[in-house]
Formats: sequence, structure tokens, C-alpha cells
Amino acid sequence: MMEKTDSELIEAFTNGDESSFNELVKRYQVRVYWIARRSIGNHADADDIVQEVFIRMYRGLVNFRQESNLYTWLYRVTVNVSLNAIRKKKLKEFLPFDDILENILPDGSHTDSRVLDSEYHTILGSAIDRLPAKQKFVFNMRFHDELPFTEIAKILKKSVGGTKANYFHAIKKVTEYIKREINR
Amino acid sequence: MQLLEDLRGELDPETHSIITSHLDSCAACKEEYETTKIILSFSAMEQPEAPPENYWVSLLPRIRTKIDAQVLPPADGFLQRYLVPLAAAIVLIIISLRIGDIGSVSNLENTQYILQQVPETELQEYLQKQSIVGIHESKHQSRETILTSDDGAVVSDLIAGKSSVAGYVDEDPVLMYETISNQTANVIASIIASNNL
Repeated sequence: MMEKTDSELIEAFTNGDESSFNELVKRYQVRVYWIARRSIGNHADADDIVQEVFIRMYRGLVNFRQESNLYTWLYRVTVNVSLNAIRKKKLKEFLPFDDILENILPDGSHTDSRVLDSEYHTILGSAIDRLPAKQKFVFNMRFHDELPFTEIAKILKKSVGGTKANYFHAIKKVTEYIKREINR
Repeated sequence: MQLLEDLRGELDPETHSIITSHLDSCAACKEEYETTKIILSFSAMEQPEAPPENYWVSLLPRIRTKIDAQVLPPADGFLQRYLVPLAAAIVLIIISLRIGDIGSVSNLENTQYILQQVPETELQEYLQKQSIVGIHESKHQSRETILTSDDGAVVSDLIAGKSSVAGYVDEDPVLMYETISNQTANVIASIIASNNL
């Protein structure tokens, strides 16, 4: 039996077929999980994010206009929910959001590495962890999910040029960190 | 330029050849290529631990449980006729006060006019959440509500030039994320724009 397309499942769900929602969850749970896991850095928090994403999908499918494909939409929701989760974990004082993302501590380390409960102890993992949140997302989308820049730009609602610049800065920072660590 | 795919050996020979020729003449792409190569060589060592074996089987039932717990009871006539409009007015005024000051009468009239555009079902849902939010309020001195639209974007991020502000009071988190539809997010954005907040 041929597998139903996302559009067919969405239509069935909006017509009252709950099993179609279940099917969509099974179809995308692995991908959504790993987007979340690479963003937040540990399984427990990733699990919370995944659940929240699919609950939002449940609520949002009836209004989903299919202007983008479902995976793009889910990716965007996951990025936003992950960003919110990162904010919650990071915030210890009243700061504007942009400062939080870029905040460098007096000892030179980055807030990401201090506040996030990350499991990454490898050089590369630590390097990625130290990236500002938006660069980290772009890096993960390109490097791990191999999404084209046009798709990444759509998901993040940014320009393609800006997205490419983000990626380029990210890989430079990662490489510089790696070189520093291996030359210690 | 599919440098990553080329380094992973995922491209056909013709495309690979085009990329190789290009790298001979483009310093920027060459730099990106070499940088990506270094990262790839380390990524082989980067193996996050897989989730527990039963995780994928357990995920859907847990999601279902949460969804079922959030299903709202049908609204009765009294609720719809009186409490919902009142709650709606309170909701948007609170939201607006959190984001900025709209003390003037003309702004309140404007708010009420815009309020009529907010879907009623969503306001009912907000009422339901308020009863849960009330538990949080009793525990904390103050709270900051961060509103998100249903694709997760923070509402204040939708407003050009504004950043989210959030924080802690007495080491306890005071952030709460209320989910509203994109339609309502746009309504709030128009309130803020019309009040020059």
C-alpha cells in the first residue's frame, strides 16, 4: 500500500482522522528530535522540545496553509521552541535578548558553555556549543541536515545572503576553536 | 556551492569536477572548503548518545496524553456572552501593559476595537490557561509574559526593533510562554504599532 503524502495526511486530520496526526508524528519524530537535541545539547530537554513541537503541530495543522512544505514548517517551529528553551535556561538577569545571545563573560568564555547543560565534551561539540544560538542553528541545518541555504533562509525568515554569512562565520569560529584546542 | 556534499562524496563525478575547477580559482570557496574539511574530520568523533531504545515508541503516547489533557470543555452561553468578552478585554490590556504603556482613553477604545478581531475560541483557551497561570502568580512577586505565536516565534520579535526581555526574580523563573495564534500576534503587533510602543 502506497504511503500517504503529508498533504493527504493533513487533509485527513483536518477532516477528523486522528490517526493521520499519529502518522505524521512517527514520520518526523526522529528528525525533529535531532534538531532539538543538537540545539539544546541533552536528551531530557530535547524530549520536552519535541513534545512541545508536536503539540503545536496538532493545534496548528488546521490552519496550515501549505505554502511551505510541512517539514520546513516543523523545522521552523522546532527552531523557535528550541530558542525559547535556550533563553529559559540562560537567563539569570534582565538582559535584552541580543545581548544574551552574544554575551561574553569576563573570563572570556561564552555564556552558552556555562549555562547550557550540554553533553558535548568533544572538541567539535564544544566548538559548536560556543556559537551564538542563531549561528548554531544555521550551522546545524547546513552541516548536519544538509539543507540548502534557500531552505534555511525560509525557515529562519532571513535573507539567503545573511544566512550564508552566518554559516561562514560559524565555520570560521568552529575551526579557530578546534585549532586552538589541538595546539594547546 | 555544494562543498559539504562534495567532501562527503555525495556528488556525481561531473558536479565534483565542476567544484574542483572552481576551487582552483576562488579563494573564498577554497577557504570554506578547507575549513569544512577540518570540521568534518572532527565530526567523526562527535557521536551524541542515541536516546533509549523504547524512546520512539513512548513518545507518541506521551504527546497524546498532553494533547488530551489540554482539550477544552464546550463553552456554555453565560461564558460566551459575558465572561469571554470581559476576559478578552482584560487579556489584551494586560498584554499591552506588559509591552508598553497605553493609559489613554483613546488607546483603550482602539484596543477594544482591535480586540473584536481576536478569535473567540482562542480567548476561551487563554481563560483556561489563566486559571493555571494564577498558580504561578501566587508564587512570584512579578512575572513577565512572553507571548509566542503558534509557530513558536516570540511576539515581541515580530515587532521591528524590539527585543525580548525576560528574567528571574529571587532565583525563580518568572517567564511564562503563552501561545497565541499568528492572527492574534498580528493583532498585538498592530496595537503596539498604533500606540507607537
